[in-house]
Amino acid sequence: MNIEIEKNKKYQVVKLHGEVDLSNSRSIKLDIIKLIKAKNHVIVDFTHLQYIDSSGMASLVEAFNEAKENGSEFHIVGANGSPLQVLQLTRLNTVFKLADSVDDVTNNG
Amino acid sequence: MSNIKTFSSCTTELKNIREFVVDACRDFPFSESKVNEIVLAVDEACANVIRHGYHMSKKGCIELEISSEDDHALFVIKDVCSQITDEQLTSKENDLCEPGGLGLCLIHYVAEKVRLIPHKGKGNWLELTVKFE
Repeated sequence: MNIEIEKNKKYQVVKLHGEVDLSNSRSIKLDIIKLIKAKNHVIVDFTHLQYIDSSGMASLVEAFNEAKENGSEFHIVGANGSPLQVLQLTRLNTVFKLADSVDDVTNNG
Repeated sequence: MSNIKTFSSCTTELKNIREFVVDACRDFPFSESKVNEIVLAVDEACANVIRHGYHMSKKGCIELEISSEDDHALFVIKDVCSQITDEQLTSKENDLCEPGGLGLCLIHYVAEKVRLIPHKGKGNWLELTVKFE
């Protein structure tokens, strides 16, 4: 698992690479929540994410709730393959703001 | 014929467990999408064992046995944790984001049947039945 964070306009883009499971979901949650607490708007980029389990999804829900409390935007982009299936199975695709790409969010934000 | 492999209860082993399931599923008539779901269900079951059974200790073990019968595949997850009850395996919609709750929902969604196999001795044998498409 590798995480890259870069600034794009008013957003901090968190790019997830590889697989998110019980072994690393907590550290990812802490990284994202740290960005939100610093008053950033966040885009989590799933484009290169191959797998995410329920602990990863629960971490994103916590980050999403933190963003709501802080008045920050929280988007997920590029979901495909297994991670997209997990979003659909958990019905979290109806909770998160989803978009195809980072550009789709930044150009409309 | 069945595939059997034992893993440690370290969370980093979950990746190896997923790879073992993907390899075993190559022999079964499942679509790629269904294999993704099965991998998720087995991973969730094993993660629950690590988190709630072994309390994140790396010293436990998880045995995974994968086999098939006429129209379905069987995935049996064996641990040596304190025994759980059928009631603890019941999925509740309201538990979605509680620890273990979301994973349990996913397991029940993917597998047609989820049951504890009665056996002598310590631990739990959790069997997931998934019908061929």
